[in-house]
Amino acid sequence: MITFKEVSKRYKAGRQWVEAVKPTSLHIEKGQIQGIIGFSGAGKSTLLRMANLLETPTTGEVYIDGQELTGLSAGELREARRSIGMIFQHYNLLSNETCAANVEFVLRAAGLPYRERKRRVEECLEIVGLADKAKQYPAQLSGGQKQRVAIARALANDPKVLLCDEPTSALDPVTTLSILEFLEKINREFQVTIMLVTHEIQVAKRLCNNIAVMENGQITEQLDRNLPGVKPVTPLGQFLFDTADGSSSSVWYRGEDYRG
Amino acid sequence: MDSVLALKSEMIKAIEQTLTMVSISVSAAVIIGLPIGILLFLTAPGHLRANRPLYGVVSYAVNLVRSFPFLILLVALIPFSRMIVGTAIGPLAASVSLSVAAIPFYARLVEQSLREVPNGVIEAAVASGAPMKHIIWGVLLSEARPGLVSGLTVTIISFISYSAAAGTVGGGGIGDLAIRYGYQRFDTEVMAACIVILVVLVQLVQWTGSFAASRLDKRK
Ligand SMILES: Nc1ncnc2c1ncn2[C@@H]1O[C@H](COP(=O)(O)OP(=O)(O)O)[C@@H](O)[C@H]1O
Ligand SMILES: [Mg+2]
Repeated sequence: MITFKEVSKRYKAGRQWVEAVKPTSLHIEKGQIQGIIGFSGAGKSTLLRMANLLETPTTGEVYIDGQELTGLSAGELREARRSIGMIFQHYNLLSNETCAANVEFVLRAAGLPYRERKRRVEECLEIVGLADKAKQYPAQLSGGQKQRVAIARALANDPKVLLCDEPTSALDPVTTLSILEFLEKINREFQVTIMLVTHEIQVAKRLCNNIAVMENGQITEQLDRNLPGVKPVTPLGQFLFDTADGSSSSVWYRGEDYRG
Repeated sequence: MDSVLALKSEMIKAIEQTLTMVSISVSAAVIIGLPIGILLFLTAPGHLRANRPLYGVVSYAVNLVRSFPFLILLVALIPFSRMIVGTAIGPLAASVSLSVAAIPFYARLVEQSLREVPNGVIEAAVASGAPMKHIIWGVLLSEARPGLVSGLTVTIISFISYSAAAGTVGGGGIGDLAIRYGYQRFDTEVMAACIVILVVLVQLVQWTGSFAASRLDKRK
């Protein structure tokens, strides 16, 4: 459903170039929940943002459901993005609009007529359990509720894919769990393929079928959670998984050029 | 008090002239300055429609007009006013120069307000596949609403004061009245009445503007 083919991304930072993502390939099957885990600065967000071309790859190609995004015109790309939902760490809701209007925005942008918009807004807020908050403004909601509105907005155009950039990193553990349950439900009930970036290993372990470990702009290993007994082999993978089990003393990760 | 009452009809005419000048120039600011402000925001380096040459030219033109002291601009534009409204005196002629000054004034304030819209919110709209028209109306102008209204309030108040200056070179209005009677004929009562009218006008605009801006702001 999502395929990165030798994608890379370089930024110019002052005089020198930063290679945020080195040539990387990744294939995510339909219906999967793919996690990308790693420390901050590893290039996770950059990789995720190339999936809907918020960042244009410096090299390589991106395919969503067989369509090459990197070859599309501006208009075709807008069309394609309607079937790719996205949620963010800081929700990014319209603060001067109600929850309903936030969801309605993407439906109007997609050209849906009035009646259908109203119906779909209701449906989507229902899915995330916030039908009663339709007329409220984001400032009146808790962090978890804001993220649920953002999920409703991302679902509005019936996407095939949902991209999540640290969706629970600003939330407490209990709220995190509830958001993860919503994501799971969306994956299960609507067969939405999910790509989720996080630095919280518990989140990835709880939700993902497959976890890619990312370090210095590269995917260093991929763990298939469906296969029993698969263990991380890279030092970073082991460190992350061990901290999740509360036994971080057994292996201490010493990344040579870990950039915090 | 007698001299003020004796001038009642002239007072009313002066207020009308001031309101004419302010409403024409502020309308021009909104109709032309707002789109220019949006253009400045969108074409600035690193923004949605980054275009360095276009941004450079528009930004330079805006700075150029804004750097003129207003009275000099007023005089410099006399031929232009004559061309547009057929005369160089009266409130309509003054409105031409006032509009030329008000357009870049508000355009900059619009650009600044739009810069306060969080980048992530714009990005979420881009990621949803929204066309530019929807991003401008539904995200930029909607999120920047309180700032746009505050900027408009500042513009109205500034141009009430500019219109008083324009009045003295043949534009008419309250400022002109104050100078003709208060300054040239030493009629302090008329002068005081004019100042009171201006103060009330400015307070009214500020109060309304602040109220509207806070009502439009849902960020808490
Ligand atoms: N717009 C940008 N300009 C310059 N450098 C950037 C930009 N975005 C990201 N980077 C750099 O790319 C690297 C990877 O960033 P990012 O993908 O955000 O990492 P992560 O999401 O894993 O924390 C970092 O070193 C970051 O500083
Ligand atoms: Mg990140």
